[in-house]
Amino acid sequence: MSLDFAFMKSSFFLAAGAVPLTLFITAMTLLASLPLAFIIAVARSGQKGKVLNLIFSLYVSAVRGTPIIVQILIIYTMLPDLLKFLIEKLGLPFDVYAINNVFYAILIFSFSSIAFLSEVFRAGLRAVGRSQYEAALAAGLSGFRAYTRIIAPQAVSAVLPVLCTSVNNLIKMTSLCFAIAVNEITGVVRVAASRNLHFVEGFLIIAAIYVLICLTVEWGFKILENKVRAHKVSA
Amino acid sequence: MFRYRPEVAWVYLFKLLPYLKVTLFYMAGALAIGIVFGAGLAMMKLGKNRPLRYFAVGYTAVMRSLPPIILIFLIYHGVPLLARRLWQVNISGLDTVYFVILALGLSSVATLSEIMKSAYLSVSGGQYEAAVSNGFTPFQAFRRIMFPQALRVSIPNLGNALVILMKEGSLGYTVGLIDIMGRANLLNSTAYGNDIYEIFFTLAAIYWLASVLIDRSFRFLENKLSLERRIRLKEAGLIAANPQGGITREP
Repeated sequence: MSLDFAFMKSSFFLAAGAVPLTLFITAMTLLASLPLAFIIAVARSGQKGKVLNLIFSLYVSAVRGTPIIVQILIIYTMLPDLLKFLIEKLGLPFDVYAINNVFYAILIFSFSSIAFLSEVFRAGLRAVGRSQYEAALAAGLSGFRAYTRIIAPQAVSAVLPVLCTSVNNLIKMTSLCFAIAVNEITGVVRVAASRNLHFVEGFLIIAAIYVLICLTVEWGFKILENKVRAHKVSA
Repeated sequence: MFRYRPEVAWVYLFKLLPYLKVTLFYMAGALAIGIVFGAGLAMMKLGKNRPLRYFAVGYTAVMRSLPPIILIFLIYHGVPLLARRLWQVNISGLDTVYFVILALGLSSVATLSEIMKSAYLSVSGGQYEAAVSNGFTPFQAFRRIMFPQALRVSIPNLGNALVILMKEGSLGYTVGLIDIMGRANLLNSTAYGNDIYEIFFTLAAIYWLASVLIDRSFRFLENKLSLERRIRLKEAGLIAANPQGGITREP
């Protein structure tokens, strides 16, 4: 018995066709969770708000402590009911069961990335330090501007390597979309492979594609790191 | 609609807990593989042999980019095929847990080699040279000077790696492994999805508790090692503990 190269070729094209969906889910998740995670990190870096801190540290610990597949199963079962309840309460003309599963995937992955990313940004904010903020205020910047112009660029560039790992982890996470029947890379090839039982061929192809994507992301982050090295503080 | 009955969840807790054994088993197996071969890989990365170094770095890069579910699938379906082809042995009857251990082990080799490498590099090279110039053999210098310090540095990362192993292993259910996750999945289908919240919240709670326990015990270990080290050094009159908790050397 040897590898079925014809199937490998066909599954390569199948998987390649699904790459945009994987990247779309990743990008949308990042778009949703990066700003939120940063806001949470800023809120937690303040002195006040013990209750807030406790809630968020429980949230982070829960997300970190449970497998993503369990989070997916729980949220995917709960969310439609919750949305239906909300929509009925608000009286919106909207069918919950018409929502695409891609939307749920993005919500679920955001739920978990926000936790990880907020920890990453917290480390970055700690690296920048309070004095920069105070100096910015003293120089006449508003609080908001101090964050967007002074703190955020330094904090983000300090944690770029960790951010790269988080993005790669997110891309790897999307492979679990099969659990909610979203046809991204893993999903399409898994279905095709189960039809003729050529799992090994199919999964070798997917493995190669994921390695390619992740290494490209790493390479992109390397370039970014070199670009922002000028105003870098060490984390 | 959402319905959660604590008394039902309580029953499921005791149906799930025995299967934690399987989870712990593959964690231990994968960790053992990771420590043994990870040490080898770390040596390759730190060594001077260029092909070996490239191999180690490449292996780590590939493992870092592979989603765990792909790895588990590849090993589960690929290794029996390979065994039949190369040695004409049929191992498809082997318990699924060994395939999961192999898959997790392969990825933890990469993770642990990175942890070991960075821990080793965090201990300054001067220490090794000082030990050797004091008459230690290279092995003694490693065993008595470098290793204890590197171990302490690596403890938080080790705890982290163990938690990740536990979580990644939960994907073994996709190839039919009956660990705590597989059992939950089975119970859920037996109940036709009626008790889904009771089952999966209980499952999540078990995982959460386990990971918190792992975290705590590794933090405890870290403190203990550093404290003991400090006390021993203090008794030897080499250091004075400073009030910030760091260690300052006396001239």
